[in-house]
Amino acid sequence: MADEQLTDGKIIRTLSKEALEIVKDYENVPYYNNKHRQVRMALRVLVGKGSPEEIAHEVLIYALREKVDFKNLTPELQKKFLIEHNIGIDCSGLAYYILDAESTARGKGTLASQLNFPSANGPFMRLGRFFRRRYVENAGVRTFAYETNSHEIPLLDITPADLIVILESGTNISANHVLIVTQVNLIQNMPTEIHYIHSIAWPVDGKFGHGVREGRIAIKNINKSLLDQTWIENGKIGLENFTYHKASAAGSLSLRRLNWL
Amino acid sequence: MTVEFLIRLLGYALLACLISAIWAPLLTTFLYRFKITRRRDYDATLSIESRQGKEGTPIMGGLLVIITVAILTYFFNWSRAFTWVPIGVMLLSALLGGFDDLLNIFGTPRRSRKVAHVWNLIKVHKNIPMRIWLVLTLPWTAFKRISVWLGSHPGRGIHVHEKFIMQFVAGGISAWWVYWKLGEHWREIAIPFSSGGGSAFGGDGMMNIDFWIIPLIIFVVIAAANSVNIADGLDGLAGGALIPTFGAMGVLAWVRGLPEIAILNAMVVGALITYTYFNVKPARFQMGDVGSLGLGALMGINAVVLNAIVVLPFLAFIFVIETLTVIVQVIGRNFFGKRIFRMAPLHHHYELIGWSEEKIVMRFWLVHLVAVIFGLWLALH
Repeated sequence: MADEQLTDGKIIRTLSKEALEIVKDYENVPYYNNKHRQVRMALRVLVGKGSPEEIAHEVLIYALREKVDFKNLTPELQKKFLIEHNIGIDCSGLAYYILDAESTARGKGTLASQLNFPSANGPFMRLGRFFRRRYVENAGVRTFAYETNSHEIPLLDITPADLIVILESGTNISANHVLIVTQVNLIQNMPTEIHYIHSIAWPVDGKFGHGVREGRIAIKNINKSLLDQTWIENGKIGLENFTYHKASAAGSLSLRRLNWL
Repeated sequence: MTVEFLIRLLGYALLACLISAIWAPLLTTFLYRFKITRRRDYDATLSIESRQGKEGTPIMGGLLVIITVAILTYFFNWSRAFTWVPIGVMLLSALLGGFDDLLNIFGTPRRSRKVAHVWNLIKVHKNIPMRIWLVLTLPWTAFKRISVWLGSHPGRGIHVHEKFIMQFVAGGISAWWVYWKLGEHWREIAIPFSSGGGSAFGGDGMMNIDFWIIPLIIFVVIAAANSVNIADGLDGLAGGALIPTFGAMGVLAWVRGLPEIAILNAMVVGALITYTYFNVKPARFQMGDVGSLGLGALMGINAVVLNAIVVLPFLAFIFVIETLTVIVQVIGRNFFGKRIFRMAPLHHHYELIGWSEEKIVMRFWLVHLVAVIFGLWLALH
């Protein structure tokens, strides 16, 4: 975590340099959720859980196979290439790698060594701890939201690397979502604006518009809940902002911090 | 065995080298004429930039070694006791590889149905006999899908499960020959450094494993055939690496008093020298499955006859390493969700990290040569 002191008591508090590099690496990566395709026993990069290096590797192999000069494609075509090859990242995968970098940078160890996986109890998981070693694949939104891994915090205490956890949104109760706080602007130690990053597909995004993107929440009244603040993403506010819409329709919306951070 | 016999061995090696050199241009012309060449639509590795020049190169060049060795053996080294089964197993495996090569070029893609799909068909198909047929063949469908699950890509050629069955037959023939035809003392395997009075293996360095020799031989033949097939991915790699392997086996056969096998290996070395001459980059032709499966099976059965199964991992070092990288890659993908190597087998990994083809091939040859020398040294103890 790094603070930048400005004039008039303004402070910009951001993630560590290492975590911000991960954020930068995920720019232009599309959204991919394996719940739709149900791919099993595959490379994690093909189930929406790949690290930036793994994504780059896989893209290189596909590009070589298809004689595509990937580096010289425009960002739009690069994203299209990834989507057509089912390469992307889901919200919890993105959260995992950013928080892993942040936790390591703060000297608190890797996420793999700190996280508990209470939900990792499928038939393969039961075969032994061996299969539980697929940490990022097992780290869903609920994993981050478990009390053994995180605790709820008030809006007043928000800092970078906190999570905005949206559970049971929409008609499908398993449609959970997580946003990672990347920056908090403070005036006189009071948060005035929260910047977040997440991987999401809005219904209006179409086939190629979705992916990792940033948004912000302007805090109008610190004493009110998150939903009472102004959420701005993609130039949309209110219910036009699908992230806000999702949060407002959720069974549970909470601001959480990993227990060891 | 005398110096005269060594001179004879060298003579056979030179003869095989010469004969294969004479008809190599004919083979190349034949392969070009019938368009038996490498094509992009079935070879994904051609997408690697450094490999794009290989498109259009004739395959099935391994026929040069297989046919030369088979004909020379028939005329100069035929022995019902020792050479007909190794040559038979080599030809059977080569036949399988040849079919695979031809189907890859001229065949049409075949589908591989998922078990769940077949299960649904069983429930909904309007034709009752068809439902019964699908039920009866369900285990076969499951067997096919397991090979796909393990990384086999259903395409035009012979599928992995089909290859496996054919190779099992080749291994079975080898095992039958050793167990029932060659006699009881062939059920023993040599353990290096175990001879002597205090040895746990009876003092002669041999361990009798009785009928367990049968599955062991089947495994060795199948593994050897596939390992050469896997390693045959760069110009000159498999051919050049097989020369010291068969050379060492020839030496072992000479030392162990098996003249027919020594001559057979000398002929293989001679033919392989010519093959490798034409196969080094830029290759005039490539081995193809016909050569790699045939020579791999011959290498496996050689190890059985020479009682060198224990040292085979050293005599076939680079082939074993290449195969292990494929196994590790499959394990990494299925169980850990990540690639251990950038691409398997190992030579493709080095290509992707920027090594030139020549550098990979020559370094692999040298490492292999050292391992073969060590294996030979081990086998002589």
